[in-house]
Amino acid sequence: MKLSNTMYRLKNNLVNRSFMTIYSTQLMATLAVVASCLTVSSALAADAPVIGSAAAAKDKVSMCIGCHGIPGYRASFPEVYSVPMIAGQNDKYIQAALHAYAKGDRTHPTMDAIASSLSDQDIADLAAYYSTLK
Amino acid sequence: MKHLSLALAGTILIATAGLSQAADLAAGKAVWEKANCASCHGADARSPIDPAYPILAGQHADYLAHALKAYQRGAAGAPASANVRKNAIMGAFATQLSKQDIENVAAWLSAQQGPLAVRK
Repeated sequence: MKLSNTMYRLKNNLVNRSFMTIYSTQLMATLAVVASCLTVSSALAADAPVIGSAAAAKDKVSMCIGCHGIPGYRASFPEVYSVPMIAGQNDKYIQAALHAYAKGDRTHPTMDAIASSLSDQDIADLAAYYSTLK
Repeated sequence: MKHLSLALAGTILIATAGLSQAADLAAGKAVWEKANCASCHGADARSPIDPAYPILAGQHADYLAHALKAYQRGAAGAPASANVRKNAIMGAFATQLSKQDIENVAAWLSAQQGPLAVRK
């Protein structure tokens, strides 16, 4: 319903007051529906799984390969150990590990810094890349 | 004769070293079974019941040992600067393991066939 139409009808309505009451009730109902739709769509957006793309990760692996791509590479904090092999690891586990570093459930100076710099999309992309890397 | 004794001693040493290595792996398998790790990580240590759990088979032994120690530190309430992993499930299991248990189970897991590799 166009606003100009509405104004015309308002002007010409003999029972102006009651019409306005009806119209404003309809308007409120419409607004309520629109508002609830917005709420639902934003909730869906928050719950929607981030789809990882191995191809998109190709520009993001530079910060990984300096350690995880070098055979025999060892970390030295707090004990000396080989950095884990991540190629072929489970997609969801790689994501869980990176989120744990970002959140502080795992602490390691290098991994904390890198994981904190990654978006959820970056994490999903890197997990897709390494889990399928042959 | 002296040379023979040395050679014999050497052979015994090597054999003993070989035996202790085997014992470590057997002890590691025992740890794996006692802690019932397979109930989450899968009987072959590469088919976890939840994809959010890691494949362990064939992973570096020293990394696996490091991870278990980090779970121990996390469960013990060590500060974040101490390199910790906070996880209710793994913290509870890791806490039950001795240092020797950790070395053994890590060695056994590392010796299992798995899909993990160093690639970039």
